[in-house]
Amino acid sequence: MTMVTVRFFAGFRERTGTDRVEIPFEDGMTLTELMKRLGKEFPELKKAWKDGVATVAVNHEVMDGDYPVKEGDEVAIFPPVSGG
Amino acid sequence: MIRVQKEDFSVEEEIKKVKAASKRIGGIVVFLGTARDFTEETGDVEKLEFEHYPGMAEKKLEELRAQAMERFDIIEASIIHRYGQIPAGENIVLIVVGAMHRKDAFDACRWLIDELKQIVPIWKKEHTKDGEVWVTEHP
Repeated sequence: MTMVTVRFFAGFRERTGTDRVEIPFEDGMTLTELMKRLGKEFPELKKAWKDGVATVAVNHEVMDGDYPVKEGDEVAIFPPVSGG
Repeated sequence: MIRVQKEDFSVEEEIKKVKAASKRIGGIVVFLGTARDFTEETGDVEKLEFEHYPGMAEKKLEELRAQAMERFDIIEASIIHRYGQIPAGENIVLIVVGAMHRKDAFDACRWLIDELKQIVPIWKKEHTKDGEVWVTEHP
């Protein structure tokens, strides 16, 4: 089965206790659906996504929830940035 | 030129590099962000810690630099951001912009640090004597 790698950063990495998880790939799965699936295991991510404080990037570009995930995509979920 | 690195940088060396880009440069503006030992929200801070998303952070910094070169009448720009633990008083981020005239250099430098704080995937954590906390706002 093909898997999609999802990476977590900063506070999300600490709250989930891991820096990456593997999600089974499904044809036509959008980022919103992927977040729903992740939300079952990590309710804190579901809340952050709902509250609009979770950014999702695919292959280093920020994407909307309707983006259809493709095989080999690198998905990353992170809180608001605070560099500088 | 952009870099994300653990080690400290030399402000003087980085100014030299920008200056070397062209003798048309008549003004160089530098923004140096340093680690404060106090914040209004947290109180006393012993050190900061920065985490970045390798690959994406560099890509976004490169895009910002390219956009600044397009938007402003400048000749050269460099951005360096550190990651890892940074004790209070040490350097965090450096932006150096060279232009023919000072206004363009000031405008571009201000724009670059403002944009960096909004979009580049780098996160700051404050370490205090009582523990540690991620900073999520970007004032």
